[in-house]
Amino acid sequence: MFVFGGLAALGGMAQMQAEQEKIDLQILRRGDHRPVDRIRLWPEAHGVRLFFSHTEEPDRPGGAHVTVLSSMPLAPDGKPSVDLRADHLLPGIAEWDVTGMGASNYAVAMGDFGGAVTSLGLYRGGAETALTDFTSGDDFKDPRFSRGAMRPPLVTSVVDGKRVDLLPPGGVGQYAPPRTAVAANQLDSALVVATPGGTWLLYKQFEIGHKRGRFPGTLQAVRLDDSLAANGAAFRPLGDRTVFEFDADVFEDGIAIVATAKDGFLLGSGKLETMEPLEHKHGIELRQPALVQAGDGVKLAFLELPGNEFAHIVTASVAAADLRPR
Amino acid sequence: MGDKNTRQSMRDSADEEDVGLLDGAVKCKGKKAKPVPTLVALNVNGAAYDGAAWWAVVSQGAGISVVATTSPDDNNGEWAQIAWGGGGRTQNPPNTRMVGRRTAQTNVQVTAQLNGPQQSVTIDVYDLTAIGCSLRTNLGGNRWKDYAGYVAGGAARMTATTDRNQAWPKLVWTPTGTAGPALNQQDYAIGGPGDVRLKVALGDKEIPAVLHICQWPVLAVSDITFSGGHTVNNDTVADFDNHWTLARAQANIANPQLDPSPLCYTRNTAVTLTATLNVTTAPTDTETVRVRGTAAAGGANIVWTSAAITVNHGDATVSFPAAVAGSAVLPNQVAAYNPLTIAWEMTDPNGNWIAIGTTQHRIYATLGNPVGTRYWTLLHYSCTSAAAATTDQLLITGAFNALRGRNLTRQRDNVALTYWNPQGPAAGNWNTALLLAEPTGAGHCGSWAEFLIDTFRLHGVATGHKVNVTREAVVQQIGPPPVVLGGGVRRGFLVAAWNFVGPATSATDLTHARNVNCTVGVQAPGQNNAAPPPSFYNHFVVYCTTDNRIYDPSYGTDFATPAAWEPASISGLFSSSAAPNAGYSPVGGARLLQFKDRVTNNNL
Repeated sequence: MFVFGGLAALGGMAQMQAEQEKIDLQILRRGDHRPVDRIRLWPEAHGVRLFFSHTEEPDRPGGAHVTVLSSMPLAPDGKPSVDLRADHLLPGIAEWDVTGMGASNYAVAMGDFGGAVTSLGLYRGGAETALTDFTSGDDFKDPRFSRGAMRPPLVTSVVDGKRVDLLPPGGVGQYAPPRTAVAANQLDSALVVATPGGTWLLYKQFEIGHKRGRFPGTLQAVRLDDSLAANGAAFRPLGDRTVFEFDADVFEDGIAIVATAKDGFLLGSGKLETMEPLEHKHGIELRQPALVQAGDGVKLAFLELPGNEFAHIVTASVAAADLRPR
Repeated sequence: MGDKNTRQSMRDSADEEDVGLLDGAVKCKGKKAKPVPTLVALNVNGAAYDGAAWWAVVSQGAGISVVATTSPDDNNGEWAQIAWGGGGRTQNPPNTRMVGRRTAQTNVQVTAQLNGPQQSVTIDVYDLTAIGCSLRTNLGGNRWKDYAGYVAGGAARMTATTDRNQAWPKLVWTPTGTAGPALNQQDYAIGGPGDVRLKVALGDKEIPAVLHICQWPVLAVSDITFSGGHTVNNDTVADFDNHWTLARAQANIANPQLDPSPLCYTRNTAVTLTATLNVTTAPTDTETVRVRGTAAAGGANIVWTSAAITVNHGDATVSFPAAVAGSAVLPNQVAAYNPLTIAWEMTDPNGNWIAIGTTQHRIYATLGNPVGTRYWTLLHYSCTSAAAATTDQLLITGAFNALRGRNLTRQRDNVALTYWNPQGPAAGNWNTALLLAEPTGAGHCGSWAEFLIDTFRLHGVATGHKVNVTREAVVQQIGPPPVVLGGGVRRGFLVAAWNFVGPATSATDLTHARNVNCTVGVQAPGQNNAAPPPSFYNHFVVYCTTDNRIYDPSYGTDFATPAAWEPASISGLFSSSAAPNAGYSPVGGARLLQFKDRVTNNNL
């Protein structure tokens, strides 16, 4: 179940002095004090749109737990509006991703935890379509729409922490059953990026340790061939650097990647094989990195202290020159 | 002219003197008579007089001289007339008679006579030949060695050897000890380590001795390395290092002998170890010791005995020369030796074993060789709860008993392991590692199912299968082509117990309104949670092919069949759509749910 709605935003943006010289993270004033759980960015014709969610507890015994998905343009006069209310049987923070379907239409892929496993649903145009079936016993996590030229986008999901499945478009408005692209131990997030030079699957392998949203791990990349099968050996585009969460988008003839790290975040662009990410320190723990290509640079967004009423969404615009070492 | 009544004396040719007559007869003038020299006395030089005889001690130096004193002149003229007898040669001047002392001699009589009765002296020459000692080791050169605290009788008995017993009363001991039973013996009390220097003298002959009293080393176990087992993981933090260390044990305030690092062995196998020991008291000299540890593990008495260990004076630590396997294997059953106490001993100078402390260890014995990571929590509960198990079935039944109480705690930090407590936010924890890593200890049915399956595998039993419980697939299956479920309608099951106002008698219909006339009752408790969520779309349980039973570790319940699980575990079905959205009695009707074995991919 979902309900569309809107809210008026109050106030504007405020400047925050960032600790790094090159990138200023600005606090976004949403006029909404409810704790934010997740964020995503999506480019629009005239700017970038921020999507964010929070969770509502049941309003009566036995009632649904609700994921409320809102959005607002990242503009001085941007105001948030509720785009989707998705009911869930069980408490928790639903994972979701958003993709543009043209003309300010969006599709949302969202997980619904059934008690044993999570199944994925596609919310679009007022309807929900089941993307996966939880009678199989497979647990589908971290649904992500692919970035780049592939339209409609495919959906990736990490299954049982052991494989990355792809759900390619299977017909008009439909998706084919999932098929495995990569199998490895301890996976927790994945994303396909279709660049002019090829399609890449980015995925993260984790080690059990102190979580910052996700367990620490390393980012892996593998090329996908035309049939979306892994082609060649996987490698680490960010080297052995420890990261927690990541996002990526097509940028110029390559890819731009942002990933949260122990002391801040990593930001890099170019070809994955030769990427030299820059490390940016930040005094407060950042989570939920979001990145989209915007103009001749990228737009970034992070959550500080997610789930906390004092948490901020912080954003930044980064020029292309600041994405690579000088 | 003479008279019978007169007495005449000798007239000294050199002198004249008046002579007197005894009866007053006429005196006449003539030369004075010279006295006859006589022997006055004999003196002895180089010997001592003990009241009965002269004595001396063998010496390579000057001999004994017997010197005569004569009268009246005590001069060469008189001395030359002395008739000497016995002894050695007469010296010049001839008033001296020598007696040799280079060898022992008995009752050497030197006589001398000079115009009178013979005089004599008797001289004994004794010899002090050796000194003996009761201490345990003769180092040679009149040095003996023993160990403080280990001297027999607490004293060293010194024995002087002379050529004959008569010399014994003349022996002088320095320092003075306590007289021994014989006159040639002296006892010295031995206290702490150090050298005792003494001597025995007979006359001017001395024999020194040194009693080298040594400190025997004292050792204390400081580190034990175990091998031959299976490394245990500290509930995802890191592997334990198979060591017992004194420092770690002492940090355990509650039990300063117990190092928390657990060990794992397959039953009926040997525990091998090597140890390092602190030298808490250094030996005076280099010594050789052996060390052994003894432990009772169930009915097995296990002894680990080291080879010879050399302890040098400057050593801070010493180690077993090589790892040692226990003298007996662990008993042939599952067990948790918690703690297993090893009593440590080392040899003393007499070769006897003396206690040097105890160490305590946690040793878990598995049914078979573990498969997968040996998480401490799984080991602890399964080996404790299934103690004495010797078969797969006994292991399975015993291990699951640990879950029936629904009160497990994580071993590394004593945090309760829970089912949905707290509720959310992580809809994850799908395996054992994530459950054990979760700071709150909260997991869901998937992680609990794998917890049980991994517990069995820890003992080499790989018969646990993860089973997905859902409503029939025909309703939920979605592909291809994908099925639009009318606004995301899903069907799930109501966890016992829900109260139906008017029973849910239908096996095929949703007849009630959830949360209206079908409301949550007393919930079946889960692991460390009195009230888990009352309804689910899906659930994981475990099917064990050893006994074909269904195990529901989230709730600590088990059943002979899936059909038995349903009426005991659910009150019916529900739908996420509008009412009527609850119903389907699980009692007496057809099976409501699908149990899909994820190993075989078949429905049970």
